[in-house]
Amino acid sequence: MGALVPLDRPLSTSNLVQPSRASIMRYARDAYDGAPVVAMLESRLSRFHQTSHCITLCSGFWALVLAIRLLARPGRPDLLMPSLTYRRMADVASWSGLHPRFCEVDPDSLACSPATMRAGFTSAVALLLAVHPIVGCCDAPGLVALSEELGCPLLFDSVESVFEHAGGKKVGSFGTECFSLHASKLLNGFEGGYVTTDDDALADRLRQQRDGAAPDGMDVRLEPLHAAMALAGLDELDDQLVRNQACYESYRSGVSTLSGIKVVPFPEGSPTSHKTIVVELTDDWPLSRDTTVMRLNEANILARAYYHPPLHARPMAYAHRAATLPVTDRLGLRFMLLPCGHHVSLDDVRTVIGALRALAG
Amino acid sequence: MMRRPPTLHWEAVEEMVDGILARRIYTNHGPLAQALEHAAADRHGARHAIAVTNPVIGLTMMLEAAGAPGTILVSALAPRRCLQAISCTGATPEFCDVDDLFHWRSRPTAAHGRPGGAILLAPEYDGSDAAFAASAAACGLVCIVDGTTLPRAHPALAILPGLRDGPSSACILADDDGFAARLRNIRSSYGAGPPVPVRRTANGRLSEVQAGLALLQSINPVRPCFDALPPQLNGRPNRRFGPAMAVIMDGAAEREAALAALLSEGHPAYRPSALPEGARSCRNAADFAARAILLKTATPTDSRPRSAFQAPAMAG
Repeated sequence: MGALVPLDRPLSTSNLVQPSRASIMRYARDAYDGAPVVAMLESRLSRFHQTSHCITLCSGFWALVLAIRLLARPGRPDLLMPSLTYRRMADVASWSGLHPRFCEVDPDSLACSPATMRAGFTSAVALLLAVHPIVGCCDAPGLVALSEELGCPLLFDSVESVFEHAGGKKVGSFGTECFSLHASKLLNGFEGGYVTTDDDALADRLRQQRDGAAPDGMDVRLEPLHAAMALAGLDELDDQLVRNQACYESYRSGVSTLSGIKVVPFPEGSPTSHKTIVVELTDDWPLSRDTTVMRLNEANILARAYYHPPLHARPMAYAHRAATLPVTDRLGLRFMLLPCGHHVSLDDVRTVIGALRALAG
Repeated sequence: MMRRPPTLHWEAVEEMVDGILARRIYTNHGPLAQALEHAAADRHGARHAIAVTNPVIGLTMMLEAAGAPGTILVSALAPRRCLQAISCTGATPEFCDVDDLFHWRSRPTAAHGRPGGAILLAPEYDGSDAAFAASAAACGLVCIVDGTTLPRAHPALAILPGLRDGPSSACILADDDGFAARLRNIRSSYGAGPPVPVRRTANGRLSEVQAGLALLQSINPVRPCFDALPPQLNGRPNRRFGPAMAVIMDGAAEREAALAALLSEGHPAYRPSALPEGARSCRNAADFAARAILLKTATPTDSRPRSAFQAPAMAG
């Protein structure tokens, strides 16, 4: 198989959704004039997620850190999390004052599950950090039940599941959850993050921490123009969902004509964002995942390995719990993200399919 | 009494946002963030400028890049963000008192120069000066500075303006290449520099919008100004205290009476924050907290003409 012809412009896996200029500028002008756009965004997001409170912050990273610090059970040193997840999640644990402890994921959902978290749980665990995968979501009701059974607090990282539903309920309404407004996410707020919760006392404490009023808090408020951008994105979310679904269906159709590769399906029968395209390379695919990614990248098709290397395999300069996770190790070599998002057209999808076909030989 | 704050024109903000939308680069060390860093490095004569999303995360990153030693010397009058940054890194503050004039002039001793020890200076609050910083460094302490009023010898944090009363961003100024490289990697810089090992990353990125807001306003170290004290405070000892003017009354009771009068006249006066728990044995700092009235100042209008915002030229 020969080299792929490089494209004129890169095709990214980042969403980078851009609402209409008119909508962005309307909210930006409101922010400039001193309107409470951050409060407006918090109100709309709490309604969107069907929860009582939404507390915005400067980033999803620091949303996680502050939420973990407030929720973690005192006197216990560990934070239980999946290893096949966001590359900085172990750093989040360190900043929260806890040791990362890793668990497996379910091979079908690529998500931590009640079974995998139960298997990884010990009496040293201060908090269960359940991270929704890039496609679909965790068994949130099952994890809530597990948390109650174990008497261990639970926090969801729902960054990749903003529009998803679990057990008939919206993600964002299962206790306390963290989200991101980074430009690559479903809602592009340039940068930012937020926490949803139904816990009134926790919400008050989070706001005090976020506003820098508490001695151990930090002034990590959201920039008003970031809120303006996110509000515009909320207004036009339906349009984005339609585009995302068209992109997903185009990939499913095209990939189905190839051997050795399959699109990880979004769940049917419940609302979903179709935001990110993840494919699995099976044993019939002629190249390794990493070689495939490299060859695509050389052609300006900026495919990415799915959460690689997994966290338990990375060197860490702070205290952590070593883990042997054979399922994660195996899964970590098979999945990759393909270009999608606001700036990837259906023609671009066909181009990517053509490149994959060329690699398949 | 107070001059008008600088004006950020809507047309300039609109033009800046339009540029971002046209380039479709929203964050991750884009052209505006790069332009801001170049401008800040130029203005302050620093070898490196690392823009960050807000001051407390900037200070946290600086302490982390310095090795986050177990104990960090800090004045009892340091602003809250200094203590929060120390707490965030997991270090322990060792509070030091100020002198009778409420300045941090007592020299750190060799006993403080424990291997890897650090000192966090906030000269606009604690009154530390260049000689004090030099003494600290001579004792083997790593000096981290909140503010830009000291000569450029130690890593320093410049606070940058945001939108109105919204949160500020910041820029870390450093001359040491290794320290700057660690900062960029701690911040999560997406190729801003070569990857170097750091203990942990901290996500301190600022967006293109934040960088644009800072560039549109002054990145010069314009000191807050104050034309005249209210008449009832004339002749009282006073000094700059962060963004405020601190006026020292004879005692706590007189302070409360004067504060009540000032507030009834509509002056933007307030008390200093209570000292943190570990600092309450610092007698002079406690005296300041009991006797000082703080008056909000205003940044003077930058009189230089501001040309229409120009998007930086894109490379390639």
